[in-house]
Amino acid sequence: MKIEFQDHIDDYLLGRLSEEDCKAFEEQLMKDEELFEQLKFTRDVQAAMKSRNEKLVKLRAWEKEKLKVEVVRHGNHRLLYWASGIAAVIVVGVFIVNRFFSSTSPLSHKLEYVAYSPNQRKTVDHRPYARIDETEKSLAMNNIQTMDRQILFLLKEQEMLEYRRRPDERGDNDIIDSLETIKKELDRLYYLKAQAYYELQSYDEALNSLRSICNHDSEYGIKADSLYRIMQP
Amino acid sequence: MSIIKLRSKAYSDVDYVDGISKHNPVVEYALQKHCKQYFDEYYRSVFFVKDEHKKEIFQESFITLWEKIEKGSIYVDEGVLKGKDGIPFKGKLTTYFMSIAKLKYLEWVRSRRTTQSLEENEQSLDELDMGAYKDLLYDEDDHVMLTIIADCVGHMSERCNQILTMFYYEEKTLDDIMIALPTFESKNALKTAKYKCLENLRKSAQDIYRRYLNS
Repeated sequence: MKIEFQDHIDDYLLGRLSEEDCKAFEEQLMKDEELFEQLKFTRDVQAAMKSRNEKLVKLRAWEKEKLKVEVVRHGNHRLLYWASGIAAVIVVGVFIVNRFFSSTSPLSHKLEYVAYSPNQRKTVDHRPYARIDETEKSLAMNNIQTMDRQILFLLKEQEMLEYRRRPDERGDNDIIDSLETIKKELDRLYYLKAQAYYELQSYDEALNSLRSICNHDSEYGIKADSLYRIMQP
Repeated sequence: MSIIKLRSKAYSDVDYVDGISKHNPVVEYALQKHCKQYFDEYYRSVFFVKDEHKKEIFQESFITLWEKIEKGSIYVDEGVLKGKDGIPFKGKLTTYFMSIAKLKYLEWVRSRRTTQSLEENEQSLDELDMGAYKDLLYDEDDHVMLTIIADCVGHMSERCNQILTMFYYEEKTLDDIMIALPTFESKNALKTAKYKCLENLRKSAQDIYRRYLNS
């Protein structure tokens, strides 16, 4: 290799020669084998450098892209952990608030535990959590009076139907169905009455209402039984 | 033929070689990913190297495989993958890639001889079948010198790599390179340094040519 050839070779390969110089150089190449060999070698170096660097650029870009994806994935995981943590705190917070501080109606607090197991019922706190004003008290009393009138009416109906059934001790199906309906309605009214008394913080009256139906095998009888067990001292 | 799935598209070895020879960037990335996964999984059964050097060996090996496909040393003929002398491939492309990686590792060891492992490494190199170099790295074809030079370029000093990359790849002028590399005091000093780099490269390439092809 001759250092004096290299400048011309480089200029030729990089297209930095004028058309005239290019022709002159090519003529020289035909005559000088050593120059031609050096050109071939330099052309291979140029091709190798280009090929290698093009590939390195792509490899680095892919590596960068891979890192980016990993960062995003990592970021997503962190976001997920944060979201999960916040959700857990909210769930626990809501549970605590509901458990100890909330409920506009004192009875609603109790009713939540109606369907719970006996062990859970024992943990229930009976303190009233809300005060009721005079208007609410008056409304509740009116409701109780209305329910009492309905109960009285239904009890009379029940007595009459029972009397009609008594002669043959069987009665017809219509009377039996009517008695069943009256029984269910009475259970419902007693249960609602108990709720109304509870809202008035008249726990003894509430317990009395519940006691009258808590041994009944009906929907409201079962609810009354649960509530009675919670409420009884 | 091995098949992997990438973005719901499956590639066989034939697909890889066909795609690379057509400079398909999606297939280029897919092959790199495929080889990287295979390399990470199996390189320990071929050689032991620290993680920081593992990347270097993978990079050199993959570039070699890539260039061999681009130059047509590995090609697809009527749906069949063929290599040297038109002989159909018997193994997988990844196996072939790992054979290249093994040679690149041995070259890497030789270029970084340490006093502690010198004898051991020399023995490893001596034991190596020189035919493997002919078959895998420098198979005799029209591009043999270019292949050897490409290999030597990977082992150049950092300084030479900088100068030649700027001059031949980025096509910067000597004046521009002097601005980028201010340690050179004059244009002549840079020109001489560049020439020395080329001269060393030529000597290394010729040495390899003599050792592995004319031995």
